Amino acid sequence: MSWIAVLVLSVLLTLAGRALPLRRLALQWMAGAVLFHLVLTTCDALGISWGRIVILVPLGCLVWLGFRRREPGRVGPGDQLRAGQGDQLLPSDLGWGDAAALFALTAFTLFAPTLWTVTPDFVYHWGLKGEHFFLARGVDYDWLAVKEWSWVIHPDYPNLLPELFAGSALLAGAFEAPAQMLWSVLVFALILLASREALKAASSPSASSASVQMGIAITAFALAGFGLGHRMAGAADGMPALALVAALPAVFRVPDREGDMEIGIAAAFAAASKIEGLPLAAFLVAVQLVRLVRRIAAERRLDVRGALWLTVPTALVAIPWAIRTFDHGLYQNFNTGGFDASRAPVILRGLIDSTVGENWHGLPAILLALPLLLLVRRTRTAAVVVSMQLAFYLWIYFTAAVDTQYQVISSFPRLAMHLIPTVIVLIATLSSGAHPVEEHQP
Amino acid sequence: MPRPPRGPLWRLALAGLLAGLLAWSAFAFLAELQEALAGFDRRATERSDPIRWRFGTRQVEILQQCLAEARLAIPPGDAVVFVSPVDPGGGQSDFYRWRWAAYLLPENPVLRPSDPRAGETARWVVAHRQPFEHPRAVLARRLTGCVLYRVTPPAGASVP
Repeated sequence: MSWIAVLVLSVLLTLAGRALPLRRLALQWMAGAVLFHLVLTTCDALGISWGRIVILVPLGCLVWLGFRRREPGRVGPGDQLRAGQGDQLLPSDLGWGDAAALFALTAFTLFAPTLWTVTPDFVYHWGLKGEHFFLARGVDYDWLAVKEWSWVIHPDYPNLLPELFAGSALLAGAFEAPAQMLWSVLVFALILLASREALKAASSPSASSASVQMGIAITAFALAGFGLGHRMAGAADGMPALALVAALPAVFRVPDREGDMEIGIAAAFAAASKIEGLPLAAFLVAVQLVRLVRRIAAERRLDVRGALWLTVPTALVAIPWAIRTFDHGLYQNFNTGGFDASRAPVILRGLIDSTVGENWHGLPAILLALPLLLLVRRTRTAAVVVSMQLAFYLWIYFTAAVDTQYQVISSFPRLAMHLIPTVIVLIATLSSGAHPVEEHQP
Repeated sequence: MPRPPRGPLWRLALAGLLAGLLAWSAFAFLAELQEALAGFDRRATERSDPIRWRFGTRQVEILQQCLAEARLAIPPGDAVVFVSPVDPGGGQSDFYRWRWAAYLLPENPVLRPSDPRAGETARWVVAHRQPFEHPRAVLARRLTGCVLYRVTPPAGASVP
C-alpha cells in the first residue's frame, strides 16, 4: 500500500502542477510539490491536522483546475506562452545516452528499497521528521524546538521532503521506509529528464546529438555512482540539484515571461527543499530579475506579471519558513559566525579529500571549469548562479562555528551534488552547436 | 573580455573532454556499483562503528528487533532513556546508537542518560548491550538484544 501511496501522490503532484501554465514534466511535478508544501504549511498555520482529506481535497481541486485549463478551445496565459513550442512531455528521440542513463537509474532504483544505500541523514533527521510529522499529523514545532537535543535533527531546515514522506504515509496509513525511497528515485529520474531538456534547449536543431547523449550519460553515471557509494537514497540533496538543472532552459532562452515563471517555481522548490536551497533560490531569482529588468528596459513595457511569477512563489515558501523558524527559536547559531581566513588550508585539504575520496572519484573537479563557463556567453548566466552557490558554500566553511575539517568532509560531497549535474550540462552545451539565444539575442 | 576560440580545434578539445568525462564517470559508477553489490552480499556479517551503521547489518537488525518489541510496551509520548556502552577512548558510538534509537521510536522522546531532563521525565529505560541499575528502575521485560525497565516516579511525585 505504501508503494502505491507514493506513486499516487507523485502523480497527483504532477497533475496539480498542471494547474499552473508550465510546459515541462519536471517543472509540473516541482510546482505540484510546492503547492503541496503550501497547503500543508497553511494547515499548520491554521491548526488543521493533516489527513487524507486535507491532502486529497486541495490536490483534487488543483488537478481539476489543471484539466479544465487544458480543455480544447480554452486558452489560458500558459497556452499563449506555449504557442508554437509543442506540448510534448516525454522525449521521442531516445539514444544510447538515454539507455545508459536508464541502466544507471535502474541500479540506483534496485538498491534504494533495500535500504542498503539509505543516507544516514534519513535516520538522523529526514526520515525521523517524516515519520514524526506523520504521527503528529503536522509539523511538531514543540518537538523541533527542544533545546537539549533538537540540533541533531536540523530543526531549521525547510520541510518539503518530510512532508512528502508524511503525506504518502498518511495516504497509506503507515510509514514504511522502503517505499519512501521512491521519492529519491523519482527525483533522480527528474534530474535526468530535466538535464535532457536543458541539453536539448541549449542545442540548435542541427547540432550533433552526441553531446546531448554524452551529457545525459555522464550525469546519470556520476549521480548513480555517488548515490550508491555515498548512500543518497532518502536524502534531500537531489532536490536543489533538480531545481538548478530544471531552471536551465529558461536561463538559456532570451528572457521571457514563461522563463520567469519556470525560474520562480524552480527557486521556490529549492527553497522548500533544504536550507542551502534558500540562497540558491535567491541567486536564481536575482539573476533572472536582472534579466527581467533589462528586458523591460529594452521593450519599454512593464511586465508586472512576469515579476510576480518570478518572485512570489519563493516568497510564499521562504517567508513562512522564516517566521516559523525564528518564532520557535529553531535557527541554529552554529550555522554562522565570524569570517576566519586562517581556515583556508583546512578547507582546501577537506575539499581535495572530498573530491578525490568520498565516492566521487574526483568528478567534482569539473567545478574547476566554472571560470571557462563564465567566459562563454552561452553558459555565463547559469555559471554565475552556480558560482554564487559554490561561493556561498565556501563562505559557510569560513564562518560556521563548527569543526571545519569535519564539516567540509561530511558536507562537501553532498553539496557538490547540487551543482554537478548543471555543470555537466553546461560543459556538454559548449560542444553542441550554435545556441538560439546567440542567434536571436540583440 | 577575451572569448575562447570557436574553431574546430576548440570543438575537438571539448569533444575529447566530454569523452574523457564519460569514461571517468562510467568507471566511477561501475566501481561504486561493484562495491555496493559486494557490501550488500556481506551485510549479514559486516560489523562497524555505529557512525557507519546501515540497514540490513546484524547490529542494526538487533536494535530494530529490540525497539520494535519495546514499542509494543511503551505508550506513545512516554519519554525513554536509551542506554548503550560509551566508548572508552572518547568516541561517539553511544551518540549514534542513540540517534538510531530515536529513529526507531518515533512516537517517543528518546533521551540520553546525560540529559538533565531524564531524571524527571523518563518513564522507561532501554538498556542496549550493557547492564543498567538504578534505584527507580524496575525490570519490565527482557527483549531481543536489550532490556526494558520501567521507571518509578521520584519520591514525592505524583504517579502519572
